[in-house]
Amino acid sequence: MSYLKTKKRKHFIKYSIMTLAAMVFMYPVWLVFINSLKGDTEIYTNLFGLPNQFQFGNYADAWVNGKFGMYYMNSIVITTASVGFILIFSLLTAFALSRQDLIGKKFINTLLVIGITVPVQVSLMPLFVQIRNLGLYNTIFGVVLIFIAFRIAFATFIMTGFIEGIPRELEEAAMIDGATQYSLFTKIILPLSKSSITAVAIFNIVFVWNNFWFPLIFLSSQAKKTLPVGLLAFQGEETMAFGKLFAGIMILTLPVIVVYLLLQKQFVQGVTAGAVKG
Amino acid sequence: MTLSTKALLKRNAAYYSFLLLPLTIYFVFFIFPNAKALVWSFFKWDGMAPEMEFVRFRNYVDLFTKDTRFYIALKNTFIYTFILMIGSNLMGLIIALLIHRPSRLNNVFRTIFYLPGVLATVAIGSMWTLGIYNPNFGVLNTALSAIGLESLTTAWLADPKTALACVALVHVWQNLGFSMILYIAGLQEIPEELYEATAIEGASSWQTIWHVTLPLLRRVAAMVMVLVLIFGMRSFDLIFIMTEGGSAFGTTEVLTTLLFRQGFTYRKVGFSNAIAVILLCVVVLTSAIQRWFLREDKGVKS
Repeated sequence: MSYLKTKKRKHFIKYSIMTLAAMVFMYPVWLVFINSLKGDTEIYTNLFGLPNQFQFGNYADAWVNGKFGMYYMNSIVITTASVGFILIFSLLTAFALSRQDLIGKKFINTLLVIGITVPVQVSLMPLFVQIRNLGLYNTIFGVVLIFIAFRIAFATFIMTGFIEGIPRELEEAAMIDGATQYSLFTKIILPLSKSSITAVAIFNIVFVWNNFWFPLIFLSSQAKKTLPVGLLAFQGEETMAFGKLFAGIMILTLPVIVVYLLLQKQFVQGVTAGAVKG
Repeated sequence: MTLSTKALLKRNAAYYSFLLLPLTIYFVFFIFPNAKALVWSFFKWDGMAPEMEFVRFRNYVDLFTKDTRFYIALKNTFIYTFILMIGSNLMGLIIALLIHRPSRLNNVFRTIFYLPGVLATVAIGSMWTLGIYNPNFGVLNTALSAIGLESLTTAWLADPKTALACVALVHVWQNLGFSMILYIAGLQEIPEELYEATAIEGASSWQTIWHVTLPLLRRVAAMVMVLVLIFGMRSFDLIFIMTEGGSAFGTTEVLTTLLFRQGFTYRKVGFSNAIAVILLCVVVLTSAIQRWFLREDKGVKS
């Protein structure tokens, strides 16, 4: 009886501490959230408390005057295009790499390993010259191509892991029925890869959506800026409009938080698979 | 199943039709620029002039003999990586030990602690710069003043004594969820019977953790350690965003920010690429050691 009691008490203490830790941990996010709902003068006088009056003026202000609406659209276009192609290409590459009789398999594998180890900054200058020479500077297409090139190796490794888990018997049966490599891909691999596609998709959605580096370097016109770049520029220009800035941070982070909360199981799966492969 | 050469070639034609577009993009926008970086590190060039001057190893020699900023950047990279590695690993492990058993409540905690990992670095940067570290109204200085420690307040990101550690701390905050998830995955692989057995033997929970759990986590720990080490050496975004590109009086200059500035600001392309190549060597070496470790372990297992 008393053993159970102490166990219960221990349990209670442990989770109280955890709750406290989690609250401290989330405090920076909470701070931005509550302050995005305050007026600028109130932020100075009352940074830590709840707003006296909840107001969404900052969001409207950021969306229209701060051009976050436009940035939002650019981010959506770039993220959708990049992730779409990353998915198709990595699935195709992973399928080919999972075949035992692919000639040059080891070589391609080695090339892809380079892609998950090398720091982004290494190739930055040559890439910049390359993009300029190809006439792709300041084009959305160019940035999408860069995202594909920098993310395909990692995506392929996660996909290969999943594809290799598909039972061989299924394929052999299909081959006996006279299936070609193409129909094998569309009829067997594709339908069975749904969970891996989800994992790779959310992973890259978060990566591309959050990335400020490539759009910053390779896009110059205001009208093509993405959300992170817009936020960065905004921070430099209007140092005093904190309410608008906090609203901007929320506009940038909320979509990702929602995706994460909805698909966290696949997310965790992706992290684990990715780490083991990478 | 035996295959004729013709059938094999036919199949490979199909595979290569799959690979054509992805590998072309990968080659043109990834492999090729990286190879070029290596080549450029042996040249002197301002990025504009039509002629490049071949200087052999002079960029590398200059780096090690003439440029003191390189050593500062190297030192800062190590300090930063060290803080990140210890912080992210230790806190990730502790949280994982507390919440690794699958339950609804533990799931909620796991979700919370991984959350910063999905947030944009730009957002995290302004969140901490304004909310926490701001010298005028940030949480840190306000809290210190409130408890009478006014003497400790400072401009956290401008003070040479604190800037680097403060940025690294934010990186720990962003990254510890990643370590935690991997540790949880490792902990869940440990069979429950082992815990039961030690419980029957009358071991305390500390003893169990010390003698059973931690030794079995060694493999995962090695993996997490190396991955975070590589993250640390590659880190750029947070430093760039929080301290004006690492320039804050050179106190937060790391290898990545140094190579960026040398290349894009001072237009010393060859010099910049020499730094890049050194960074590359360090990262690839670390990653190779990790691969070797994991391979070794697999061999023992089978």
